[in-house]
Amino acid sequence: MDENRAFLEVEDLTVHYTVGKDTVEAVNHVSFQLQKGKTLGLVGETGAGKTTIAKSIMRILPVPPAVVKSGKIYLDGQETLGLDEKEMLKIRGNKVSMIFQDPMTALNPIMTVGSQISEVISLHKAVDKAGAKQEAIRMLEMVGIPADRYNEYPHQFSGGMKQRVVIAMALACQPDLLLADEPTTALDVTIQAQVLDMIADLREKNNTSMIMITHDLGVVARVCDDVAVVYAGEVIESGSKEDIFDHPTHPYTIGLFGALPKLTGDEKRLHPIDGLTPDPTHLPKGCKFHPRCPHATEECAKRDIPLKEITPGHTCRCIKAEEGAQK
Amino acid sequence: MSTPCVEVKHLQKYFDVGKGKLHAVDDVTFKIEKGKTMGIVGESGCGKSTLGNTIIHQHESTGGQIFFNGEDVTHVKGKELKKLRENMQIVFQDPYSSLNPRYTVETTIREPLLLSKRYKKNEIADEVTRLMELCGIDERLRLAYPHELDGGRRQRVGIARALALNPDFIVCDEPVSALDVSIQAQVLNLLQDLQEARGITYMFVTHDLSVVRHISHDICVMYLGQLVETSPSKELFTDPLHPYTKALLSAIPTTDIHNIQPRIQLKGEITSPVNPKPGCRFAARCPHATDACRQPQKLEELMPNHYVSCCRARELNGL
Repeated sequence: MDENRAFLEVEDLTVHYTVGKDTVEAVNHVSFQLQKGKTLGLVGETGAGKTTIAKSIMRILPVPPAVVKSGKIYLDGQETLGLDEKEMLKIRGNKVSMIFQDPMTALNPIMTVGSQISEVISLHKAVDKAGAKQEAIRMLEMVGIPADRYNEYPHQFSGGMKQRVVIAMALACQPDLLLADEPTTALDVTIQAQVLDMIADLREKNNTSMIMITHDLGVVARVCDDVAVVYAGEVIESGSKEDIFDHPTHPYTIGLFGALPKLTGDEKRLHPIDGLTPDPTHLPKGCKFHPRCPHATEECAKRDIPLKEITPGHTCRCIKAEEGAQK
Repeated sequence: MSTPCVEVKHLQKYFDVGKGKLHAVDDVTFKIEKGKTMGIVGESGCGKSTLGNTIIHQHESTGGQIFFNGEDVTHVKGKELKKLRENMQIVFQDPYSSLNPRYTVETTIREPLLLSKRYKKNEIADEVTRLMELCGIDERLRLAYPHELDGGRRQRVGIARALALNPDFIVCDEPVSALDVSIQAQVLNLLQDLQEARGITYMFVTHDLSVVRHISHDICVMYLGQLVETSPSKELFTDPLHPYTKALLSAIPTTDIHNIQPRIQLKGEITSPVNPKPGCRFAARCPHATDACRQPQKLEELMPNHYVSCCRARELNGL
């Protein structure tokens, strides 16, 4: 084990999907780090590759059609992409677990919620059936569901409660790393606030690290320490929450903030980003954002743009930022 | 004051379910002035979509009255209903399921034009071109099928179809909820441009409070079928008076990281709208609930054009 590594390190991850004759370049040379106990927000629009990154860490990519072209993932110093399935089974659900976007489909409709949670516990912990049940009840109560609902089925729960069951399941083995894939997108605002607060409390208790995948910048502002903005399978800007929210630098990040209706102020019109996200089977050459970028020059289309550090910890993948950093 | 475009008085819509009556819309009263946008906000299951569907006569109302351009249209039938529907259109939430997958863009937009019998055959193609242009759909997509379009373009087709017969009133039922942020802004701008150019009146149903603040002139907040508060748009955000509105607003995650407000903790889940008890339906989760809240509530005008349905609103807000 390498002591100098961050708790989670993703290095040069590239994942493609083969669909017929086409190759979908879902994730391209993505690298990032996450420190113990911190929360990283992965922000981006539909099809940016956020979920593929999370599934690569969980090792639940559908192979085929997915192909991991390159990359290493170090979890607590251990490389996981090279592990065989048997070893991965011990990690998945135990050290790393995932909260899926849609609580309606993440639960087994013909198993009681209690038995779904105790199943995870008995798989990963040396406890007997009664012990697992006891632990599952404790988890349910922790997420605010009374113990007498242990034997009920998912359809008897509301959306917010189902999501809490999914969270209880993900946290049942006190994972070191929690991957939350749009955990509150399917929920109403007041319920969303309850669920986010609950995740924050539980994480604090266990010092859990988390990757929060979302397209909602408001959620990022509420829960994350660091942010990585993903566009067309690449990290185009990353830094602390303050870096990204106070000094957004990449034209896409600036565009995202501009497109958002504000809760204060008197804007008459929004400022959408022109055009559409690129077709992932035919990504543009050079900067992936240049066809939509208001500041694009010929240079942008010519070569791949590297991530440049503009201030300590704040990196950006843009020619303009490169120039700015040199000044 | 001119006649409002749409006015509803004590509108009710109950559904029969096994266990009794589901009170989807209960005693809702408001009006929308011509050329303005009324935002309807609330959480899932609060009856906001049902309210829209009832106004455009997709559902028959259980009680109350609906006025359109000053006329009582609550019980219109047959030919009159058909004529009314030409004037009241809807844009649906999900641009994936609301377009016929076997219709091209052109056939989709042409359908209402054909049905209305307002146009001659040779005029229809021109009219389709005009509508496509108006809604920013490329001419090359004329013969494309919905599966070839992305969400934003599909929603534009849905809007073009709704606009085809030049309606006075459009219900927009979560029209941007399924779209990405950058595309959402494009569609919102399109809706605003159309309103400016044609004086269309919108009822904008959504759960997204920042979108509703941006696009609406006035806002109604609903909770479990009841109208709890209605006020001019900006005022609702600066001076919310109903405890539910306050909790709802405090729960919105904002992007202002240096000014994160503490949120009002709500306990419990939304109660069932089937055979509800009389009184305020929010009382079960309300931090200020008293016995008086179990009595039927009245919508009162506490500030100019700002109506609240809460017996404690005056006292809680020091009015």
